[in-house]
Amino acid sequence: MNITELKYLAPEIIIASGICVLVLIKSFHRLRSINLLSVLIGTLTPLIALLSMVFIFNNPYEIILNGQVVIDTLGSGLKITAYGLCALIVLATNINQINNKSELILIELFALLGISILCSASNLLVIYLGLETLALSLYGLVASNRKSVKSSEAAMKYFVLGSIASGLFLYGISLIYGLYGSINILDFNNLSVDTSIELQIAIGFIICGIVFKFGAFPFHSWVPDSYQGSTNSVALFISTVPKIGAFALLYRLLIDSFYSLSSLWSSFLLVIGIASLIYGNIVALSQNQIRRLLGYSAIGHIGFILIAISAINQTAIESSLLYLLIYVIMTLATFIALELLSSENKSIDTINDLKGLNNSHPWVALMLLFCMFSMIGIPPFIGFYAKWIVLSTLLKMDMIYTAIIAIIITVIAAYYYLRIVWYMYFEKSDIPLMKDTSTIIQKSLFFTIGSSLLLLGLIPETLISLIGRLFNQIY
Amino acid sequence: MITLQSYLTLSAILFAIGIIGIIINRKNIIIILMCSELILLAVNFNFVAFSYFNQDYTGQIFVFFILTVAAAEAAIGLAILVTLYRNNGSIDVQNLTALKE
Repeated sequence: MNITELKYLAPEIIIASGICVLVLIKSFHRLRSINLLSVLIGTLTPLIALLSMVFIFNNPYEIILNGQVVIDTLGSGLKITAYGLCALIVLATNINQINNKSELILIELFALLGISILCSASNLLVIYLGLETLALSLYGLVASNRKSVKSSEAAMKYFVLGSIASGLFLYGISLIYGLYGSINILDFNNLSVDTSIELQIAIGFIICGIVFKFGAFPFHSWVPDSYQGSTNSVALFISTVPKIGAFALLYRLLIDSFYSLSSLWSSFLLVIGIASLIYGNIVALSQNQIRRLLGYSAIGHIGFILIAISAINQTAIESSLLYLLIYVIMTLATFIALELLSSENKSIDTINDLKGLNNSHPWVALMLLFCMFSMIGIPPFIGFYAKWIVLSTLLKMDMIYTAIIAIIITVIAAYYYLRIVWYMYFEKSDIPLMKDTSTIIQKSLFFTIGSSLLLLGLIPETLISLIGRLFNQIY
Repeated sequence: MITLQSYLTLSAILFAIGIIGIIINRKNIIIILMCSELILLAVNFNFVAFSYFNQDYTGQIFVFFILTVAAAEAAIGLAILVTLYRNNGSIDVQNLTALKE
């Protein structure tokens, strides 16, 4: 090992030191401005980490620490996205709403560290450690509303499912280690396609772990539970940033290492993708709890991403990445809207709480309308381009039946998004909404992100070429 | 002479006991926590067996990390269990019904 290699780990080191500083500050109980200080640290740490990536970008491909860590453009791009998102989320969280705010930010930074490790791991052990850092902090986040039965129940269910999934994943890793005698994923690059039953079982187990992290069909049930059980602030985090970690995991394991075995895993992903597309969108039709509804809709969107990946080639992977990023922006805007409208004693939980929103908060209602239209995929909004690119990739790969299913399901899904719009615009409110307690920063953030859904939709080539440049070295 | 096959069979049996224990258990959450530990131990068994028969130490190092993570996971699981007991008054699986559609 060479000491100069450490400069490639600068973002991780910065986040880890940010965590240490926050823990130290947290131990001064009587500090009055502790919430403000932790928001400051929680925003600055990811931003400084982001700035430190400038040094890495000069060397686009580097394998360091005896092949345990790989620095490449895709990993760096995913890291940049995750850091930016985390800083935005910390800024957008309501200070008044929760009193254990600094703990929340601390755990979010831990999760960010896990994602960061996942993004540049090139060794099954490092991948496992990053995955567990992420998973353990997410259990803590979901349980962070300590006084609520729903929160602790959701955390318990998430924990049990998560430990099964990580057990399956590890069993798969152990079989791979037994078969090839190595845990370095670069050694698996040029495997010959053999269809031994052991290899199939191992890949199947590893896919179980990946699918759980995404929250796709057979391992989906934690998604709606943990969205519903947690507060809006926590849902804001767990619905966006971990998805990037999940994509990094999938990319590192399936595309970086087992690419030559793609005939084994692509059909798995296709079936899982279609199943979660159908299941998520159909079940969401009957939901009244808004975060639960968004949870089921998330399962549907993840289905889209997995279907796109299963068409393995360069454009397919790029289009799934684009869909993921656009999905993350849309979800971020939606949850920030819910966070804006919630105050200390009134949280937005059901669709009924949104009744008559147009009369009380016309601008928030308009932005939420943008989010919903974008999620449906109505043309001028950016969500349309996400769906369009995925569908055109499917058609190019001759997966016509999959594309038809996806289009039909998308039309069905429009019902529940439009129902939210209907409640906001055409229903009279029974109870007046509470006075606005959100800060100016939150508002300006929300309106920037919300209107970018429309603006980016008008000039989609900019985003597409930006992503193309950021991720130009996909495999 | 004990072959690799016998080690793998034992590990697979332990793994299956862990999974089945979680799935069919309808009573106590603590049993679920025990089963999830059992799954991780089955994986450790696999790693050590492969490491011995392949003459390669990587597997044994992996086991140390799994043991550490398993301890952290158990700690978090028990912490969640404590908050659940405070809020819900019981740790029966059947009483986990607050989240309904």
